[in-house]
Amino acid sequence: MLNAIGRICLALARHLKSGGVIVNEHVLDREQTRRHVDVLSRCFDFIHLNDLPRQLYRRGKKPFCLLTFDDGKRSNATAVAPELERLGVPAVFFVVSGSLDDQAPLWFDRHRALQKKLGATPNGLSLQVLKQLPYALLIERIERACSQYGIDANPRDADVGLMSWEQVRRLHRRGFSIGAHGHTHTILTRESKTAAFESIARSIAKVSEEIGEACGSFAFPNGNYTAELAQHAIRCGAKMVMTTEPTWVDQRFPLWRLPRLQIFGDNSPGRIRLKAAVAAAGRILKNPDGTGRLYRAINRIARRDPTRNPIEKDVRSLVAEAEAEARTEAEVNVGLD
Amino acid sequence: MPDIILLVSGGVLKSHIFNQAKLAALHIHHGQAPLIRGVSSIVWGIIEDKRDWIGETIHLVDEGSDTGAILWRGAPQLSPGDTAATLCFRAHVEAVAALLRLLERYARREEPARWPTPAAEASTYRSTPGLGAWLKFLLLGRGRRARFLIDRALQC
Repeated sequence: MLNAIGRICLALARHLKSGGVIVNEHVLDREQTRRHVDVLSRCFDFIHLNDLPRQLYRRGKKPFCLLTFDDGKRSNATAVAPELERLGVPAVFFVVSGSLDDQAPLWFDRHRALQKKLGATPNGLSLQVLKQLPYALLIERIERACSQYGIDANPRDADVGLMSWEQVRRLHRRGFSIGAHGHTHTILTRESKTAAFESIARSIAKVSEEIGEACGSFAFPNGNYTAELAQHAIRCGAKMVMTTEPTWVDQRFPLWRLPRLQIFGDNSPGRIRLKAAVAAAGRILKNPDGTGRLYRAINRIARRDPTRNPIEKDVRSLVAEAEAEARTEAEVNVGLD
Repeated sequence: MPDIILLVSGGVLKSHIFNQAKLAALHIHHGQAPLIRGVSSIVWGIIEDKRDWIGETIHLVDEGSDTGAILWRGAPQLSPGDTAATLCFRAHVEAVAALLRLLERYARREEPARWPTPAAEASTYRSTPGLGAWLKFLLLGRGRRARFLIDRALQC
């Protein structure tokens, strides 16, 4: 039933909507990767990150799908990337630069280990509270709980441990895009502006240095953002900035606030189709960054009068060229259709 | 006699109480004093569309309401999806971190510098929101006021 509804909605979206979806994944095994690609390829054409600005105007043919993987877990390099390569599917891997340096497990994996072993959330460590705290305080609480209970995440687990920079470089050489995801997995809106700016700048600079070319994309850790932080990412060299607003993406979205639809490894084909269909139908899904459905209001405001927003002007100059090119191509395509 | 008296929100202390502190009587005010003084300042900031009221202040206690010399002032980043509850929580966390730094200075017998505030800064006092204000906050909170926050976040 879910499958049928999903299929019908997606078929309608194909004819009624331009653009497509940016999918946000985290960890997958080979079989899950195959399944996700199989389900998504029936409804979408996979695209490369560099083609995204142009594809936002895509209309009248299969919608596009850009696959993105956050956090830079080792399994992304050992399981996901080989499978995607075999299937000829491009993807973006967003890596946490500082954590790749010290190879320490990310805070939420340590929290998950605590929760798994203890069977409950220790006092003061609920995710709702932790996600409001500045990083230093959050880490202090996690550290204290880990040493108190003698529990920690296992970095040998490929879904917990992080890639090495060598693996990142190899992915880049094989044609995958590498994006920045913060210097630590700090929720940037919980930090002082200075610290958040530094995390963005350091992560973009470090990724650029490691891959040997400009890092063109940035994804907000946990999806929480402000326009000012996104603007800073653009100033630091990112051309595309991604959030986690779970909606369809088209030319109405500025490149500094690209929404992404979150899909998990254990999602069934029916659920994946339905999620994509619901995202196409409107802004119904809940944003996993903790803001619920408030992002709908953001979209309303942003669309009501884009010139009111100073960042639009800044980014517009950066992407005007790409958009003009895309429009020309879209017109040519319409002519061909 | 205490070295430090610490007041977190709460009411106004009489002088014979706060004068007992040997080093200082400090107050954490959830709002940007002296711009906004009194009760529920963050909520008032949302009700009255005053972004610069949203924040936190640590000041010396005097006989007035949030009128003492300011030692530290800060404000959490305002991001899409924020509510009065998340802003109050984050403002408090920031203020406690700043308070620890101030207490360390007092422990070293150093007098903390006064926080520079513009001389001509307007000062507003607001008491506990009445029924009308709460209704306005609750009824409009999810619509216009939430959008106010988001709007400001987008324009920052």
